[in-house]
Amino acid sequence: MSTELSSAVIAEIRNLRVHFPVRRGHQRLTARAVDGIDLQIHEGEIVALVGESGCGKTTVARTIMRLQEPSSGSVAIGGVDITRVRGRGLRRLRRDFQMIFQDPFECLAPNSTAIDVVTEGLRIHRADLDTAARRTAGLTALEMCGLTPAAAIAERRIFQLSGGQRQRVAIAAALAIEPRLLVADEPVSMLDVSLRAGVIRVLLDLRERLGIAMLFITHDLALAGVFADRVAVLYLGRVVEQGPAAEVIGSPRHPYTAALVGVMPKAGGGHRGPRPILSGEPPNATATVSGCHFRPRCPLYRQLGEPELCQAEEPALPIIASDASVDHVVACHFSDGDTSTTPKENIS
Amino acid sequence: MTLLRVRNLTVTYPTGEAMVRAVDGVDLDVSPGEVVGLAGESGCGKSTLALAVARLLPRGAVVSADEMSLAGTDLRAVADEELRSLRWRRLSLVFQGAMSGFNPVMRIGDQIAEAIRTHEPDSHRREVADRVGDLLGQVGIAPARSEDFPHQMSGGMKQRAMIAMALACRPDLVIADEPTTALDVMTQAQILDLIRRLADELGLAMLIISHDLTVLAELCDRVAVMYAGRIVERGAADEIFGAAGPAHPYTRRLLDCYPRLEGGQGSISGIGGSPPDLAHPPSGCRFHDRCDQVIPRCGTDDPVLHMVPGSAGHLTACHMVGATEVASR
Repeated sequence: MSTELSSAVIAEIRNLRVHFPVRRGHQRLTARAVDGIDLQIHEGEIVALVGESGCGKTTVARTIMRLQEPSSGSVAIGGVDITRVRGRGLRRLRRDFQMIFQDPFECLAPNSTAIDVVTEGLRIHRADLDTAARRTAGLTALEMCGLTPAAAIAERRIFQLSGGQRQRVAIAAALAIEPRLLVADEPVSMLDVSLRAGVIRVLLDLRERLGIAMLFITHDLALAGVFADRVAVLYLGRVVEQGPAAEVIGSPRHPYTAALVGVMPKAGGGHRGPRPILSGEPPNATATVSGCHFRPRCPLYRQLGEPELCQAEEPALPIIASDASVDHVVACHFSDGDTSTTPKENIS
Repeated sequence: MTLLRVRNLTVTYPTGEAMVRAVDGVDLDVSPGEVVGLAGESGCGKSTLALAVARLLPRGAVVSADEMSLAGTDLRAVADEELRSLRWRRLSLVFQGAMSGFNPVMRIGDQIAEAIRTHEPDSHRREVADRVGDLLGQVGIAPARSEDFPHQMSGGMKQRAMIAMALACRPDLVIADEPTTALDVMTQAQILDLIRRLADELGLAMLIISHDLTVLAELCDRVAVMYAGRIVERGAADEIFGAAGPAHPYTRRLLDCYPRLEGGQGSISGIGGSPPDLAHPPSGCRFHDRCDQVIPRCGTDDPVLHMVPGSAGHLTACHMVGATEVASR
């Protein structure tokens, strides 16, 4: 699947940092949840953000939604830096970016009807519409999300709906406002596998019909590989690998991505045996590591006899020109596995 | 020798207007050292089955079975006061989201020690402390971490500590309900390896309940797939997930729900419709209205579990699979 390279950039994240103060006993530490992320999302593009718990993916999403103040850096949506806007101006901008959450059982008021949920955003953002017009728009949104007959579903209360239906209502509510960017934080991980495809199809369909861009946050690498156009792999608040989805998941170049892909249960099943499990505990955002942050867990680092370069210098992700979002780039000194030469230059 | 033996288990929940048969005539065996997986969508009855075995069903649930025994003990006949000694020492459970099952203001080690002392009141303080250290070591946690409070541990670590606690009184059988569901891939892989190692090294029998077929495929020796209260397919994991693939259309469709990278977006498929209302189960095969290979018989005749031709103990309940010999349901 190809990405429209010529399409406009909808969201541009530049050098984003989100640090949290942490107190441990008398120590004052800083958790660097997001530590210098650059990411672009084009019109109609689906970008997946993957990584372990605690890698900062949800913090990125919350910062884009202005649910979290960044420590530094900027998030521009449709050319406007949203980190500098507040009050009424922010509310107006919020029309452009909407979010769907992980748990459809907790994010919707159980006693409201589906149409209430869907038109609530319209009441705020589309005050120009009258009640009847809002209802029509709400019904269209429900229908687009595969909730048919929409007129019947509209009057059902949330508690009467199944998990898959609830998640579609949540999507319909986000969609009714006609956002340009949809941020989806693990939208299908709470659903039965048999229902996931239905929700994923709705999202693909919306992209096709309305050209909505999506930031899709997931820890399901297989899904990211087939659903997204582009994947960015996060480790300790930094992007360590980025590129076309099928390529990053199909032939990962960063040892961390390779490890994640290696432990992914395969649908073919039946492959028991040793798996490349990373040793050590999940990353700790308060720890300070010199050089590459993945070094303490990196199998390649050990395999190469602990090269000095990894300890001395933090590998940087090569800057991607804005018109070349399909480049596959990686922040690793030795991603070729080639030990004899000097660090790899990431020229694509 | 079979450790857990369940024959023709039926669990009924009375609701306002109808009786809901959450589990309907299920057979299940688990042998020592064996990891058995029970798969199915939400509401298929897999957790009810586990709760029935542990005698933890809510009041009002009606259980009937021809046999339900653990190493010769008839689980149906155990008196309520004996249940305390049965649980933990003979059989223990690890629940979904067990990470939040720890008392937040008590040290992990003390909580595991409490479980041991409750069941073995004569044990020495020293000895219990040593055992807690050993248990934590077994699940890959440094014994010194027994001083930690739950909030000082990561999710995967708490889940491992929960498994350590389940092992505290050396049970024969551990039932784990969705042991890895809330965890991310790397932690999940660690837990799966741990479960496998415990079964292989300690000869522990495990019943793993999960909606995730790919997890069960990697972990289990044998797998049973449940749909609408019944087991529709059962057999060795190698056979069900092997080259020939599952015999039942439901298992096949469920497996197809996992996207394959080489298949691209076209490989994102689901199962249309929803599981039947168990208060009013459909006639014939319970999967027939969602199945893509129906013959007229499917709507009227209820298929029984029978041997898949040419297999060794691979059973399926589907009319489309050559019915030569009929095993018990």
